[in-house]
Amino acid sequence: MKGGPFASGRSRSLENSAQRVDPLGALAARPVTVAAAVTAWLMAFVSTLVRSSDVSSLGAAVAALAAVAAGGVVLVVASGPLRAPVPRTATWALVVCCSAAAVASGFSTAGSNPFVRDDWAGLASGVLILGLAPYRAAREIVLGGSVVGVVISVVALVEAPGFVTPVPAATYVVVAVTPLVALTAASAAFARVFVDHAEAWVVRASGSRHDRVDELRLGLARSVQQDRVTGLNREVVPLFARLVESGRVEAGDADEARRIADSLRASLVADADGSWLASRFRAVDRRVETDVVDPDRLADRLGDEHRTALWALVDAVDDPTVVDVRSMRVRLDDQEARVAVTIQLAVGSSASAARRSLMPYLTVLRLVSGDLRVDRSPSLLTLRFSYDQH
Amino acid sequence: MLLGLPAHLAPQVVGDSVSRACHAIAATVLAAAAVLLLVKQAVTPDLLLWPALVSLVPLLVLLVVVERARSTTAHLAYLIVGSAATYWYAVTLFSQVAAVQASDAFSLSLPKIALVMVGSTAVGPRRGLLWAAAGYLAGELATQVATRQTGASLRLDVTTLVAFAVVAVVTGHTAASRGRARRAQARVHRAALEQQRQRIRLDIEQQAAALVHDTVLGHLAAVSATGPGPLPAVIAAAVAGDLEVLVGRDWLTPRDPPPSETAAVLDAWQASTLHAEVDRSRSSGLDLTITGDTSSVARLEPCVAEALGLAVGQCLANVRRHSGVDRAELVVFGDGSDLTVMVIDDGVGFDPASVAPDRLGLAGSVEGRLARVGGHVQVWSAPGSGTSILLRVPVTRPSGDAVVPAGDPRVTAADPADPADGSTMRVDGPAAGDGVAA
Repeated sequence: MKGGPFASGRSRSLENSAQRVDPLGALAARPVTVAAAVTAWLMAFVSTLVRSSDVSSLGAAVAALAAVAAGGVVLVVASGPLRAPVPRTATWALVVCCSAAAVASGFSTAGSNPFVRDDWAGLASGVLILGLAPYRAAREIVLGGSVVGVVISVVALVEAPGFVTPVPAATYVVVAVTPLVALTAASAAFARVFVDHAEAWVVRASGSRHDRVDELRLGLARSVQQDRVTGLNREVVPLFARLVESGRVEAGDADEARRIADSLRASLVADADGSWLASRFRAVDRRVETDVVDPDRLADRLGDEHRTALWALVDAVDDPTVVDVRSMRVRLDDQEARVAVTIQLAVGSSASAARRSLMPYLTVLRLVSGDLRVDRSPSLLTLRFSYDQH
Repeated sequence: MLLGLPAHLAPQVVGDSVSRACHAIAATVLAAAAVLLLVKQAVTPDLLLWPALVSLVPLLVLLVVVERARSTTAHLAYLIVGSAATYWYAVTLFSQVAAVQASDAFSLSLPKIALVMVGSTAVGPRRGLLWAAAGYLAGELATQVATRQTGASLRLDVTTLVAFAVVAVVTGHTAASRGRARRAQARVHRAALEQQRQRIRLDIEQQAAALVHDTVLGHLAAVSATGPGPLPAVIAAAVAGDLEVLVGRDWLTPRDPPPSETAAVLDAWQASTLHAEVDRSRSSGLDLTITGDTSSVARLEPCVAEALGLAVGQCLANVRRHSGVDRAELVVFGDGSDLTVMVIDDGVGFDPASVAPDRLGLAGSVEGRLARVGGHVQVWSAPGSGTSILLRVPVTRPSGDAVVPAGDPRVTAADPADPADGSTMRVDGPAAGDGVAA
């Protein structure tokens, strides 16, 4: 992933999205996104219905409602957990839909629109742009909102001669764009403040983690040394002590030294064998039977984020309160510059239910890998993703 | 790696972000109200609109105070002064602007929406909701009173009501969204810590294996090759050294750097692990010539210097065991970013392609060690034409993780254009020269 989600710095908070810094927060906000899409359309629909007497072109009115609906669909589909992160194109697709809705709505009441304040395009567009807040960066939200704002202003100016209120054209523009500007500002403020907070937390947490890593390293080093010393104490230390004390090599010593060397060497080779993933799967507290196919130890080329996401997934798979997985098969294939990972989960319940239960972990994996695909058959959940070989 | 906010922090962060979003809306609608007034005043100078414009000032000022202070007093002041200002604003508009004659006029909704957006979810979603409700009621009350006093028509202001509903829904969701996704967050954070712990542990295991290989395993091999009789002095010293290390100090924690920077460059070379390994090889009978800039060792980080020293020590041990000659050359040279050491002998050489992949010597003790500090190794050799090993380490350690992941070492064909030796094989990783398993 380019740059990583936690690149720090003040200006970055305008470029980074809340979804990148907190993928599970974005997942939790999804119902609000869906609500925003539905609300925008309902507001447009009810407004059109209430002001049906103003509608001079039914076709344009339907087109306007269809454009708002399309904007809602873009928002809901793009924010799907297994499509994370929401791409830049989603913002611009939304901008196109909102602009189209504003223009079509203007056409639908052409010549028969007495009040600009009744126009729903600004409010509906604003609500849709508000729905983008958890997924896109503040700067992009402001830019997108501005484009829609310009379109709405132009529509208001074109319609101005038809409005009955005796005020200057500038007033119509302000009234038409205020809901959009307010909601765009809210959306951008949310994105900016959230990312600021999250990045500040990452800086704080990373600082204390660096200290902890040193402590952790020291503790682990002592524990590993103790393990080694315990092993060596059994045979090597008695032999060496005897040799140093007597200053002589006795008849059986050479054979004993060779035997100890062979077994020690075998144990070193065995310890050096197997990737981090293989040793993760060997952990004693695992419940689900797992088969790993990774002859080239490609798993060792996974970055920290991928390892974390995969580790959490394995942890969840082992938890019967989360999901009923019977067995797991992991396969890593070398594909030139990338490694393709396939994970098959044989589930006791339906694959759809398992997918739902594992959704938070799949979201995180999707966000770090960028290309996770999840396929279902009745009792099999197949996850596929890939990563660069470092 | 830290993926996502911890569950205990998320509600505060979301709350504060929602709160600031509300303030952004409040600021926008107040600005819009001001612009509408200014346009109206500019077009019709006869109207007395400045009192309405002035009434927006305390609202904007208190909005800034609320944004900064977040205290109950600030919120209360915003609502009380804001209600009075809204009343004053409404009275002015009703009496001056002919188009504004009902309580649901667009211009009247603006300060009311600003009051709803008092937004204080930072203190908890439930209290935030109460503040928004209080703002809604205060705004409505102020305009109702103004409406009655001026005889304007009383109508339900749908716009402000919708604004309040949106705030209520978003704030309510903030309170309720600590569901499955947030529970999963704890597991993701635990996974981040555990995978880091495992990475460090595996790294230390490899270091330990390399050390055991270089010391105990090597010396066991030496003993096994010795017939009955007195223990040779070199082996006795090595075995005694092993015993001291095994029962004595921490061998897996990096040694302390030299006590003082003034310990100067020469001292740094004398004190370096590389120097100690050179001494050890010489005392074992190797005729070692050193050329180049040994002082550049002083530029290395202590852990890098130690890894380089131990790796070179293993290369020299291989020369003693396998090359068939007792002479070797060590060349040390550094440039801006790297320090390079070459170990060259004119011995029997070997075919890198025929080396068993599970050999530990070069893989663990040389390649693995250097990979951990961001360095790498190249080997040129062929049967009958000697061996050259090039070890390169960075002068400043790569920033970021405490652990640089060791790559998967592989044997690759040499680049024919390689100036060092086009006819031989280049080995990045497991290679020959491992005396123990021989």
